[in-house]
Amino acid sequence: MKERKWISKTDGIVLGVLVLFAAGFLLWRAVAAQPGMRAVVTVDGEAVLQIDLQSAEDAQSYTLQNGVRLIAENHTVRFAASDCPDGICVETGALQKVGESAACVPNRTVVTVVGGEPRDVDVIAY
Amino acid sequence: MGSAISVSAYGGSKEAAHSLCVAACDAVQALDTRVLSKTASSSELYRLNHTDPAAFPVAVSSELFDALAETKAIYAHSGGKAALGCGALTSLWGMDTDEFRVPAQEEIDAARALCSDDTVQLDAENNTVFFAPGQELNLGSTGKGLGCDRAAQVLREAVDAGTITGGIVSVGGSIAAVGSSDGEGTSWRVGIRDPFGTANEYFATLTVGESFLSTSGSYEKQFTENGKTYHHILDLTTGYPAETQLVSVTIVAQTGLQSDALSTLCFLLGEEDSREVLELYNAQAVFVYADRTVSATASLRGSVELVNDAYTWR
Amino acid sequence: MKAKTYRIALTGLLGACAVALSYFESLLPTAAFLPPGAKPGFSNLANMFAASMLGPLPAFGIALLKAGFAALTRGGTAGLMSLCGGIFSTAVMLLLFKKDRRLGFVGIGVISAVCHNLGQLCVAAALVGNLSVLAYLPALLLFGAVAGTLTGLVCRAVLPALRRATASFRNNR
Repeated sequence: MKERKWISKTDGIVLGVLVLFAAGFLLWRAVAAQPGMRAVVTVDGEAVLQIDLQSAEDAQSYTLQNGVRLIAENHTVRFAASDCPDGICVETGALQKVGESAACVPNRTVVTVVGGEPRDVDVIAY
Repeated sequence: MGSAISVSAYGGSKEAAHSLCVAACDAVQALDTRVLSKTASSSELYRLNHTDPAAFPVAVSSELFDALAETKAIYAHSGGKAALGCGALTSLWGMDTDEFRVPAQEEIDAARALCSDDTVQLDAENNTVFFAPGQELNLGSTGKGLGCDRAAQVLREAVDAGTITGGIVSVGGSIAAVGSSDGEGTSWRVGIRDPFGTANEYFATLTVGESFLSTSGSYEKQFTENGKTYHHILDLTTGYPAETQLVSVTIVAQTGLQSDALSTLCFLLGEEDSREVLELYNAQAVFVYADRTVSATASLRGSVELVNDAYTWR
Repeated sequence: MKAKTYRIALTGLLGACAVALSYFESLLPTAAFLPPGAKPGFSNLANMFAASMLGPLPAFGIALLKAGFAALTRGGTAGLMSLCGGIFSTAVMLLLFKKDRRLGFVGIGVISAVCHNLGQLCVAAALVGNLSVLAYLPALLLFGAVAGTLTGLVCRAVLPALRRATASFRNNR
């Protein structure tokens, strides 16, 4: 019986489209991305915390209700500790540019770096 | 406590700042787990609430005793609207565990009868506590302030030792500001959350030195049942969430505990009736009403700047 | 050996391969631009064999097995992501193998790898409650392209030998 081809023209088109789209997007992000202003932390889809990255020089530690710990320093933010089995969130490392994000899926927590206006308060009381 | 804790340390080396932040966070969490939590079985308060009434009066640590005593004293000014022993009612509404429900009228009446501080006796000489069977002590509305006090302690030691020049702690939105960011006394700028906005929008900024701030607002914990929205600040004289024109009250006080307790108290009392107790505790306040009008106590007014056009001064 | 027994045995063998491949994949380090838990997808190889040679039941069975293994070793979240990705990519593969006449193995491999990652991404987005994880999409597509190509090539390389070895049985597709 004749086996299906190794690779066909259609495959080429599929690959081409994928690679073009993906590479283009990544390139755009790498070039056009601004250093982030703030990091938005969401748990279960709700924003629970916003960290001002602009003013984050010395280490600032944040602990969420679900036990996840974040550290902001040198205008970056990262997962510092979490009780999830894989620890991928912590492995992701420091986030700095607009659009970069890290997630701890077992804890339903996502940290995304966003741009926007600089916030001129040191903290928000709520 | 169930809140997000954030600690920022300024002016020191990275390692020092980092370990300080972790130490402060740990101190606050330990305080909650060991002493204050109403729901964690490891906490002293939990054990106190679950002690057999026959064993009363019970001796407690001075840390817990002082917290209970001061909370009771502050709520004594509430005209019965707030009490240290309000646990029976708050559990009924599911406030402690965020499993909100609207209780039946009979349940509310029954719980209210167990919420008077008249039956809560604190003996300062022996650090003992006595309360009637069925009552539950609740530090839920002062816990964040206490956490701030604890964290501020850690930061203050570091500032005095010269490790850092200053720091800011936020425990669930209650703030403690210690030292200054540059070591030269530059004031801190604290934003007050917009009651009608999202978690990161602030409608005003407060310029303060070292201080403790807390905000009580009806936006904090809310749930809707059968089309009606209920917030979490209960008025013990009715057994229901307080009906008021206020949507948020921010207090600047001498200690975290005071700022937290007073914010709840003043929310319940309203602006007029709060004057006396604010003077007594040398505290300042910002009142925000549902129509987006704002008022503040005299000496604080100059430090408040409205940054959202929708808000106006009364 | 009867045809049915053979199929069961082969499914079992492929299942074991899938689990072993999964295990080795989990040892690889993660990259920051990839979503949590997204692996190159070589373990898809076993699924691909099953989808092209054995049919829906064994193919889905293997996907379920991998998801179960992930759940046991890496937690419920990983298991759920593997399940969604596995079912989606297996379904697409089965469809393509049966109905499509223009794609080669590389094409099917790439599409199935991308589908697998897309399934995982959907679960992640649903779990964390917002769409920010979609930012990983471009990186996923690139990785899917590479991994899928490799998987497709290996599958095509081995399939004829497998078919010859089982030529004496009926029901070989």
